Amino acid sequence: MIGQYLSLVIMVLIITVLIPVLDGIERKFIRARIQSRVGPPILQTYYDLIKLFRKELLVPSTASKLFIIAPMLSFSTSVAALFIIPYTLSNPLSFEGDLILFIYLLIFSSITALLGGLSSGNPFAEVSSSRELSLLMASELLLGLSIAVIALKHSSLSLSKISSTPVITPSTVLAYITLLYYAFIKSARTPYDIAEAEPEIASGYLIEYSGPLLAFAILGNLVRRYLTTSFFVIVSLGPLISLITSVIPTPIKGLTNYVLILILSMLTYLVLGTASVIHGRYRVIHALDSVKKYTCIPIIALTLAIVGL
Amino acid sequence: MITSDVLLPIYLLIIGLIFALILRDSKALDPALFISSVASVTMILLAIQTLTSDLTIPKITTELQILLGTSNLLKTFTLSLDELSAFFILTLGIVGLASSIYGIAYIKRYLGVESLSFYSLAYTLFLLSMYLVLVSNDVVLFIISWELMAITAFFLIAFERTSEVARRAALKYLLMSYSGSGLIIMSLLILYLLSGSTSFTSLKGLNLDVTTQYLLMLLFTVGFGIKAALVPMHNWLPDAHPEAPSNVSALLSGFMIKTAVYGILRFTVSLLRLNYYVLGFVLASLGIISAIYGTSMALLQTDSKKLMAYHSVGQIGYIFLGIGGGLMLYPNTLGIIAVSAGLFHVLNHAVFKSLLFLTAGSVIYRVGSRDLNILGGLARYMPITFISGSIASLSISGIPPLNGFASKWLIILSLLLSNHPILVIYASLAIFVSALTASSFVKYLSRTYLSNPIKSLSNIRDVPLPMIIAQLFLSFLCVLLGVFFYVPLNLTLRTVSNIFIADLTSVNILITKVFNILTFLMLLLVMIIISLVVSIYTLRRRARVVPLWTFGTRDSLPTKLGLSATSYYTEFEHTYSFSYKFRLYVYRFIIDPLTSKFMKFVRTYDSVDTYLYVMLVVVDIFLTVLVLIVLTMVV
Repeated sequence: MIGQYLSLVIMVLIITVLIPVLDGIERKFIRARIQSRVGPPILQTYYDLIKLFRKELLVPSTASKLFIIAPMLSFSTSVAALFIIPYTLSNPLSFEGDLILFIYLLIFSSITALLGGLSSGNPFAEVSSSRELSLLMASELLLGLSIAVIALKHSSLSLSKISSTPVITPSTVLAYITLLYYAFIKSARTPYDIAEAEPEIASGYLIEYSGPLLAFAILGNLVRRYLTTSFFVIVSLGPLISLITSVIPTPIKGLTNYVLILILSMLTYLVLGTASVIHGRYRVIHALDSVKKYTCIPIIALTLAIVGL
Repeated sequence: MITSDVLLPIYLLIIGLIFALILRDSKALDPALFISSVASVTMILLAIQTLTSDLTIPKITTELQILLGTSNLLKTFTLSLDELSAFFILTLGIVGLASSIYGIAYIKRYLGVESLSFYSLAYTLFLLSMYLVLVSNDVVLFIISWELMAITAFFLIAFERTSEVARRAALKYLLMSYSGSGLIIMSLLILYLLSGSTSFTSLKGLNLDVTTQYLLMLLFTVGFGIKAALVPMHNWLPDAHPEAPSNVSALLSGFMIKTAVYGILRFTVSLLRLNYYVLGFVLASLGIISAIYGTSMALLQTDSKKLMAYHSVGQIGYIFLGIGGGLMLYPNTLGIIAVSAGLFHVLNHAVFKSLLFLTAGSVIYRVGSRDLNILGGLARYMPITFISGSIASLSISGIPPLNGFASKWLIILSLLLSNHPILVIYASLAIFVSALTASSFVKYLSRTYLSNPIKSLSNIRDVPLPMIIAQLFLSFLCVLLGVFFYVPLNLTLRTVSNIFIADLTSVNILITKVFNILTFLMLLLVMIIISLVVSIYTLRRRARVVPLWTFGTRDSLPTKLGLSATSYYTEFEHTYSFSYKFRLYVYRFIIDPLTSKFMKFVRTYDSVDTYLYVMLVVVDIFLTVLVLIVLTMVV
């Protein structure tokens, strides 16, 4: 029992350590390669974070206490959400309905980050929060509908159960595609990075952050990016992994699952990174429009699911 | 012993009434509100005593002698207290306590402008009537207290007599409320004629034929639906709730609209056992429509209290979604869980919504405005109000580990797991609605407490002690009910299983499967540990305060650079405009033709809604008389 929890903590730790490296890989091998640059070293994100952690703590005069608390709270919430994911296709913390808890933790994490930025009193933070929340509302409709499909088809909302029982029908495939798209929106990468939009609104809600607080905000962002990606991998590719590894004997099965999921999550992460590099940033209205257009996919999926496909 | 307990809040409130009648103006306020708070405390204790007592004592019945007339009908009323009413009394006690304490300081702002003794009178009577609605076991007493509640609420909404807007809103409320209670009275009269007794107990197990069942279902749904402000019967709420003094708004939104939930559960579900599936479908559909419509309208509001009032429409939708969905699933154990989750949301919504209204009231008290376009930056001046406001906002958005999360999550979860296509669609829309809620409250927090103020803020400090106590009490409850939510949840599960005569153990087995307390607490622990470690690491060094970055210029940033409340979600509104066209269509195709054809003679009122409800009142009276005549002839 305790061994299970301990291994969960170790798995989460490994992933937390790997996330900045993953960002480094994306910057070096995807972004720089496509833009024909040499690019930074793989560990550049680490160097950035370490430098930020060493810096002074600066707080704007118009800010309230929330300014300091929010990035840390946002970071710790997103790490807490990391604990719910069934890395070996099972999780000691799992229960019927942890999927909804996972989503609420994600929302909480992004909203606290926004509130922190807002509390600086900088008008750009306000513009940014309005953009981020509009996108959140639009994408949550997408997510809600695809969760409905999953709930109908799997009769369960436990991440471990969903990830270990393969249900492949037209409706679920469409729902999985929607989840991939959702991960793309939530990753706050180029076409959908309207909330940060550095050249436009000077990093938006991050504008007043510097030093260790900025480091936490960035870390929180990276963890959230990984979370949505691995959410897609667990729900849609998890069943396939469970099919593949069902022949492997029990002692190393968990480890194989873990490694496979990690590799697939990283690959998906990099694929989404590639997709983002070849896009320019949307304008706010176009970002919302595109999300609205793609909402038809989960609607079709839900209709199919109700019909029984 | 126990009988005197049920009457104790009534006696106390009557003493409060006497104080309000005898003492002049401002002197009446303190004793009346103090006694109201004591009465609320006794209500809480009474409710807890009933809810935790042994199940073998099902009901506490007592008799209240009121000499209203010489006829046998009006002489003796029985009061009863079972788990369902006890749960609602607990909610009433909590909201009543907070808003009474808050009122001690807040109402003083009307000193010299309005009559405070009148306020004390109406307020105590309002509390008393709501309590009587919950404990009455008699059709006549129920009707009397229901009407008393409606009328005292009218006086409280129109408390600012000088305000044209308030008077008009109160009138609209009264008309709509009356048209609703007319329907309720009519159906209760039908029940009286069918059973031959005014006691609720005689209604239990009444054999009704199908036509009567559907007729009663329609009457009760519309009648209570108006009180609950379910869309499309909600028009009074967004006008009336903001106009009342803030602590009364807390009581109105926090509790009064929930008496309708009580009514539905008491009559249609518990006593009459009407066709659960059809009733459930109607309630759940009205619920999800209210949730989407109320919340998306709230997104556009620029008046803080109006924003919250629209959220009341949205959240009551959640409650009915849970209850209705549960009724649809009825023999299934998941159904019991959904109804309990809906009932649990009644308590949670009461706590965070009244807290929200109180914080909005504090802002009005200090700054004198509720216009989100000109407010801002109050976090540093009113820290406790800010903390309470953010706790309530996060709670209504359903953020773990606050109380709104527990009930919303359980409603959504039980419906999603039901495998019933309609309910699954509703639940997926409910996830969308919770994102809308979160966004609209970020706007409230941002435009009130965080962003740049447009109005100059000087000499603003936090509100007086009674108001702070009330806010902290409710914020504390938000956190407590969120972290230890299985305690109230177990109470609601037991109450609902009793209503449905369901097996509590199977419900409990399912709930432990659906939900794991251990996981929840461990995640909470993880969050706390990480936050602590991280903040200790960060806060070792002293923060240096620097001016806001102004892009290298010497002037401060122009305030217009930010977003006003009006333009916060312009793009979203533009893109998703279809949900805002609902009102338009309702008016164009339903309300307008009806009113223009039939109601030309009441064109003295200027609001379109008013016609409809004047008409409904007339129709009500007519139908009541008709039904009475027909039924007396038949019986």
